[in-house]
Amino acid sequence: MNKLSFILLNCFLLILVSMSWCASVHADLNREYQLKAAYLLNFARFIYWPEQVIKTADNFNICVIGESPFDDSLDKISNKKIKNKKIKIIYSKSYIEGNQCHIIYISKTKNNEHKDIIKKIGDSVVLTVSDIDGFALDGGMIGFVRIKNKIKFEINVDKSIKSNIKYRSQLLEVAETLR
Amino acid sequence: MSSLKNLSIQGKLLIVYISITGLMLAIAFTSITSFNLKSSKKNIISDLNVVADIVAESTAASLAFSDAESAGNNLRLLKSHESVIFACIRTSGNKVFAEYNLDVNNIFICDDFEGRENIIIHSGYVDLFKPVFLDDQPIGRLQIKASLSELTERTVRSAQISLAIFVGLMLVTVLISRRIMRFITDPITSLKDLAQSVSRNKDYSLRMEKTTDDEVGVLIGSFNNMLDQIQNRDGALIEEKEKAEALAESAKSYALKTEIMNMDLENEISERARIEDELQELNETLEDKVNERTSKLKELNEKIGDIARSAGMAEVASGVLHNVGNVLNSVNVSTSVIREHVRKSKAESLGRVVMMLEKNKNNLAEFISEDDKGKQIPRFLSLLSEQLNAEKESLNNELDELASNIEHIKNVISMQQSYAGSYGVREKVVLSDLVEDALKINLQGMNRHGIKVVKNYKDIKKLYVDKHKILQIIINLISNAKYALVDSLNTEKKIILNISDDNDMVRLEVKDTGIGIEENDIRHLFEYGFKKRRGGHGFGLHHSAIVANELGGSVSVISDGLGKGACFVLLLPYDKQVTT
Repeated sequence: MNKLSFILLNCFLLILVSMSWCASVHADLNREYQLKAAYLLNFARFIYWPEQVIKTADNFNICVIGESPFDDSLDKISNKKIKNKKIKIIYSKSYIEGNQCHIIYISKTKNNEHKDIIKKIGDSVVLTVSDIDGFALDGGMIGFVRIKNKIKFEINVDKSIKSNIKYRSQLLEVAETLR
Repeated sequence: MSSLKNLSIQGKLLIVYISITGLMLAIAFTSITSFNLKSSKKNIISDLNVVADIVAESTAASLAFSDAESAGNNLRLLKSHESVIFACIRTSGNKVFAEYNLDVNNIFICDDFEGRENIIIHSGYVDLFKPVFLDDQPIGRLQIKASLSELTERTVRSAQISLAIFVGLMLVTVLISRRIMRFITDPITSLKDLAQSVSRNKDYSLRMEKTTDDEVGVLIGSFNNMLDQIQNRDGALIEEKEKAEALAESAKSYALKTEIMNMDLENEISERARIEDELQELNETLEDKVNERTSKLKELNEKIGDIARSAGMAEVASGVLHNVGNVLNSVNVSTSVIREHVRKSKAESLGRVVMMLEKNKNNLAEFISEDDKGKQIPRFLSLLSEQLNAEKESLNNELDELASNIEHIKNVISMQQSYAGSYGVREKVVLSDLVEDALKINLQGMNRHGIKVVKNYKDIKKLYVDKHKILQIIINLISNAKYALVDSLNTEKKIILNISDDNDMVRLEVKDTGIGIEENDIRHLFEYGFKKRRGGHGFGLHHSAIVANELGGSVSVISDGLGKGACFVLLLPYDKQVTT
């Protein structure tokens, strides 16, 4: 084998390993957001939604603000129903007032804007969820956290109560932290 | 079973009570225990269901958010339920999500419960499977394994208590039963004791008081009646036994007597044998002796006939002599009276007057007129004349009486003479004449004793008979009647003479109201030598009966007893060829 061949082979192997690693990382991310999509659905299930909120809406709207990390994971749950209302996934680059969202997921891409969005939402009956670090401390209601390589979540109970969001006790039991 | 048969009624009743009560209690306790067991199981399962529901509910979030730790914590809460020994949760993908194991050795595993029933009961434990729902969607399945040891313990404890109560109730049953049974068994036991007493002592006079009208009362009544009958029969039996014993005794004595008689018989046989020997000897001379005896007997018979005939004649003669004697007595009295009259006659006084007159025949006038004695002579003569007339009258009367008596004697003797010559000669006679002659012979005696004679003579035909024989009989009958009246204390002394006849027979009844005859004496009255009267010779009636019999007739007597008189009946046959 000549030297060029050796270098080419090594490059090829390096590329192959890199591609393999990239694929693995992508797969992990994909799995994480599949789980988080399921969690979003389950959050909706463990909340006592005020009748008024459900009754006035045609669907149960889950709004994703910013770039969606879920691929098609959220779309997969859109065939489910909450309170007999079909789930509708609404993707939006930014927060638009007037959108009738029951759950607003603020993507990490909105890391610098999340506080403004929270402010804009105010005390509306909207569950705010994000995996931005310290989201629950920043006035959000449920923030995903990774603990021991496991996805957990924190709940800001005070904020939730202000927004008239009531959790079932089971949800509170499995929550990592209550604020 | 045979030992059960021989058990007392009380024992049998007790067994019945205990058996029934025991069976009932056993059924009751078994039912209760079974019900308790089922109920407890149901309760346990129900409790487990509730617990499972709670756990499933609380675990739903854990499953939804894949929080196995939280799910494990939830399962550990089951620790407060002692019966739960294992619990686990499987995901809807059938992976074991969380486990709780009370046993440190982890002997239990989470079952793959696909297609399993919700509740599976094993021996000693129960498995309960519960799906975990989230919004009506099954997201996993909960399994709880609960031990039933507590239930078993509780059941055992309950059974022990039941057994203790059972034993206690049985004891109470026995005690109450014994008390109640006494109402039934006491009268029966008393009856049994009475029957044993009667049987042992043979005392059939015992009775039991009847206190109720139930079956036992009826039994007691019947038993008492039976005792009555037995007592009566026993009495009769004893009587019969005594009779039999007496009979046996008499049989024994009879046997003894028979033995003695046998001995006597033997002696007699030997004696007979001896006599036979002697007879053998005597036999040769016997004929001569018999002939001799026969001739002697013939002579004796003739003598007896003579004696009887003589007796009859003697009877007549006695009657005649008695009458004559009586008349002679009167003659004697008359003679004595006459002699006394003569002895006391005043004729001597007349002699003394004659001598006085003879002495003074010279101066008779002077004597009669002057002398004191002479003066009394006319008067004396006058009185003497009257006295002598009276004596004469009296003597005449006595002499008439004497002449009459002597005439009577003459008649009697001539009558007797007329009979004396006709003995053995049959002639025609009128029965009433013979009766009259017989009365004449006894007339004096009857007059003296105040005996009245009533005569009822029917005019009958003459009899052709030996009148002397008939007279003997009639004299004997009248004489007996007279003596019966003389000895009697009856105030009315009467002889009734009835003569009647029919075609064949003549009937003479000599009836008196005298002393009568005892019934026993009537049978012996015509026997030879039988006499009741002192001075009788005992063959008068015997001879009369024989004579009447010879004539083809009979003499019989009727008397109602002592003091009631008697009636002798002489029946004589007509001799049709000669009677007219």
